[in-house]
Amino acid sequence: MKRKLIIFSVAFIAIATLCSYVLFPYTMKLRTGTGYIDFEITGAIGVPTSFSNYNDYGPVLYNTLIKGGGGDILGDNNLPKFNVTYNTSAPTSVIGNNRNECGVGYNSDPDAIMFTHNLFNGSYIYESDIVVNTNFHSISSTGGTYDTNVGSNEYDRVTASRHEIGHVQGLDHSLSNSFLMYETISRGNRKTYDGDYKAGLNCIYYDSCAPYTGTGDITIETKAQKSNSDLRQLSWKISNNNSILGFNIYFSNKELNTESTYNNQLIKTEIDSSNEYKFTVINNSSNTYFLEIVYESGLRTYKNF
Amino acid sequence: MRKIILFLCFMFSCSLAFSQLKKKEKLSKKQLSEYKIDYSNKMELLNLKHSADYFFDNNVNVYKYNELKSKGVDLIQVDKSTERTYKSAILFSNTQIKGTVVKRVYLDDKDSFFRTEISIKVDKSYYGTNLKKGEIIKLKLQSGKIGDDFLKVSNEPDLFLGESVILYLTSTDSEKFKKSLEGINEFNKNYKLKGNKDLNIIYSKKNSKVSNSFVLYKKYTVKNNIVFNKNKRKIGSLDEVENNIELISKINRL
Repeated sequence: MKRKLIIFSVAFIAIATLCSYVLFPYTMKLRTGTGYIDFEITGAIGVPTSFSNYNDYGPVLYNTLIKGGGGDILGDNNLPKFNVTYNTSAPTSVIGNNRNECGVGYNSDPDAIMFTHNLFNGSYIYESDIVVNTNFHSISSTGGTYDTNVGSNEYDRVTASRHEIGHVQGLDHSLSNSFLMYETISRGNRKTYDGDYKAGLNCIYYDSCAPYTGTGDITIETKAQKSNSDLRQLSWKISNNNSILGFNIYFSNKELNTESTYNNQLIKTEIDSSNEYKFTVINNSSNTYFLEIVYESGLRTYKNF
Repeated sequence: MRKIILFLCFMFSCSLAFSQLKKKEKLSKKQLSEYKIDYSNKMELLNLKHSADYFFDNNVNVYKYNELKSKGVDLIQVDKSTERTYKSAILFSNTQIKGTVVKRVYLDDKDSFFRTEISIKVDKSYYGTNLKKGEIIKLKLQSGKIGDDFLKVSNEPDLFLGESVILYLTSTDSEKFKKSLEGINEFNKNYKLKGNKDLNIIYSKKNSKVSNSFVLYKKYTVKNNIVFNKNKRKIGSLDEVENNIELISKINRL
């Protein structure tokens, strides 16, 4: 009995430990606060505010303090505006080039780099630092100010700054390169706050993750639609070949697995080799159906039937 | 006659001197300078006018412009945008492997530049550091736990336990990475880092001479023999992606 108890305890601890490791990243949702926040940016981005004590966890060259309370961030007039100024006396960091452009972001230019550190406590961001090196000011490949557009051969520091502010607000990267929160940037391209950005803020701050159309690279191409209020079978195709990873499918707010039930009716879901999805509703009632694809990033594509 | 032939051979070899990628460490200072001029001229000829230093520093083989383009690496696009496809990113990484995430440790050290160490079991090595199947390497990330908090760096991807991945890496033993430490130290001088410690000292204390450690440039996920990028987009079958990585690496280093 004692041996069984020990084996059970060890197994329990092992499974609990494993689960905590596996699940931990998923608890790190890019969310902060509820309701309203107000932006107060202390110092223009790029001006070092070192020797203040609100970042104990350096190394960060520049700090941007975001304060909470008041103001509707979703109103166009309240979206964060800032001037981009640079302190040329600060050293030229070479991290952009030599940390091997860790993955993604506005850091792929050989000399200029901009990215964000978000410090989470639970699911709350309580401190953010936008890291920007002085090359964003000085090298010929970067340009643009708040009032002056970027040159055709330059990377736009205003777009990069706006993108990083998005991270400060809790947004992750978008999947389409037409949006501000996409992870990379092209020369001569200026982006501003867009529907994708606002949809993200709505989701974070108002818990209103309503479907937002046109955001993704997934389109639902139906082969059979609801007819005579009696849906028997519906097929659709994921057009970007993204059939396995990165999204979940919901049918009238119920997540679809290979076999599901809805209104006590069995729904069979099949996926064939060409990314074709098909489900069959057996003896269904005439409900209105809502087919939705939800990306891991929270963006959604949906269709009513 | 023999002298003429020798002279012509000499002239011919001179004209070919910089017609291909050179190992910079084997060149004298003068040769390096001449090579850089030749490289810049080649860049100009190809209308790659924005990224000369960047390409040169990363040993991008502009002499193989057409061959690279035929394999889907368009240097013009690389020059124009920060977007890197899995093919073009090969040019900026010196190690590419397929592996499995087997362990994650949060270093929990405020003074450390890296806060997470991820163990990767190597399944296959495509190019770069001589890694063998089954070998465990350590991947260093800036993101990670600090006490009860979690620091998320926006340009670092997440890696999950059990995930099968293709990684583009740079060894922390490489000159390239050592140079980055100089940059990071410079970076820290202007920040109130506790104790203002030299990261070279901090870092070297925690690593043996051959550290078997790497920093990450790109991550791709492998699932059901299909390869996905960070945005969960399918980029190809595993066979196709592996073949391209090996082929493009080979073209670029020739």
